[in-house]
Amino acid sequence: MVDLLSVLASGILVGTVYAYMAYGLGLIYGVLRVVNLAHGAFLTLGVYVTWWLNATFGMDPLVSILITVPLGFALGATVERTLVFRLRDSPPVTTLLLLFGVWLIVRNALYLIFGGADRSLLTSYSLESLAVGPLTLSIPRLIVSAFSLLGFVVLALMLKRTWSGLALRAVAQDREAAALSGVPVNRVWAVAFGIGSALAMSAGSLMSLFYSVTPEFGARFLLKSFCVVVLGGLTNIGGILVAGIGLGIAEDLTAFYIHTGYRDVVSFLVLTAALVMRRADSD
Amino acid sequence: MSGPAPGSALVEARGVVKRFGGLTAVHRLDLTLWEGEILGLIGPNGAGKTTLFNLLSGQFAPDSGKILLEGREIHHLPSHRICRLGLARTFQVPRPFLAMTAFESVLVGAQFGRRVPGTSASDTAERCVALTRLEPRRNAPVHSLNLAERKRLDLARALATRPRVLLVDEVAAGLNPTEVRETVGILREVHASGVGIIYVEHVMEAVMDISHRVHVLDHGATIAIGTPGEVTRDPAVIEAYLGRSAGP
Repeated sequence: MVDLLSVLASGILVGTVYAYMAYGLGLIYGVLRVVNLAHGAFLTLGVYVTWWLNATFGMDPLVSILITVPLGFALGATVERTLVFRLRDSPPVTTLLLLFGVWLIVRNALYLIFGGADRSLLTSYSLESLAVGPLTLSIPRLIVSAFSLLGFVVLALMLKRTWSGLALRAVAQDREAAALSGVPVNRVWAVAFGIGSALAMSAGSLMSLFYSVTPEFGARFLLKSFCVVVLGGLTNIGGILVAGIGLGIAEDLTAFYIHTGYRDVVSFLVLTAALVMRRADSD
Repeated sequence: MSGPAPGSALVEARGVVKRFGGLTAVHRLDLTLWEGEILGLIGPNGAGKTTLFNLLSGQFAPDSGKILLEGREIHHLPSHRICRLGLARTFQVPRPFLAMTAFESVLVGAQFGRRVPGTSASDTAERCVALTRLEPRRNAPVHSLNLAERKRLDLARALATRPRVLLVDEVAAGLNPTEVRETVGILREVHASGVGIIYVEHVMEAVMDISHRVHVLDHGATIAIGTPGEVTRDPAVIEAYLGRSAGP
């Protein structure tokens, strides 16, 4: 029983981070109708920038969020303005391949600069844990989960309460009607891409606390992001949170009761099942 | 180009051409909306009315010709810039922001439309919700509105951008006679507040009742321009349009 509770608790904590990591992908798809394969690049850049700041200046990963958020926004908005924007009227697969190219460039640049070795980042609290009743919860996971939830609240308030949020929602719901109501759609696209990338990079900062830093980081978590976003309903902020937590729990249950090696199989299975069910829905 | 003077043209289309592949949807069209005017735009299906609206509002670029708003060329501008210069439109089939409340979708137009110093977006939105009689549904989710309400909401969203010119596309279609009268009443109020209107409509009663002049299109070209009385007597119009749809 205690085992099960521990597994569930740990799954929930990881799941909130999954949701935070994935949300940018859903936001960009919702507003631009573009599948951002460069999401993997921004996740990886996030962990590398955080690791590098820690290794060079001893900066705490949580503090480095103050850098990865604006940096991610600037990089994302630039990618949209300089690259994605040019392919506005091309078929979706063109943009998909373009952004895949961006990811490959980033990944290989990281191999070139830092090599392929796994690195990890250790802080004073990395191995700490907290006893809650019979459960033992990892401190980094608690912190990261709390930051993710906070990020979700900020994002939800931004979408609901600010003019930028209103513009993002209008463009996501009907681009043409938004433009005809005076919404500067071009700028909204750049902002959406910027926010989505800022979320991905800062997710990298958070995740550097308990995942190893390698140029392949993005590959693994891009797939999980897809899984969460497809399961949660692309642009549905609440749905994505629930889907992230669901995936976190499913993975931890599998790792604990079946085998750790099967952990990453879960997201493949869930993604496949979700796509098959969606297909059945639309038939 | 000089600025607008009283009685000057609000909207001018000069020699506008739009082709889709081999089909010429609008052919060397000249059209003028004068200050203070309601211009009816009629013609059989496929005459090019909606295409013309798409050209005026910047959704399509013309293949040749010019479009001017208060003397300023707008045919090369994106839709949101044209909206901010003071031209708004409604849709034949309303295109509401389905996941918003009625008030929020009006707020989109109020915040991002034409800037008028000294007015706040929420005041403007409130005023447009009231004008279109949507107060009871103010906080209702848009997807729960019926067709008549969605049409009024579309009108409210367009009005919230504080247009100088409003393009109205078949706002009476699909409504019952009471709703048509109510809608025509709203358009009169809009006109009285100083907005020029181009009104595309198949419901003849509504468009003939409210228009100062009527511009008749067929196959993308002008076949008649005149007062409602004049165009309904015009043989070319009767031939192209009214003759086919008028009852016994």
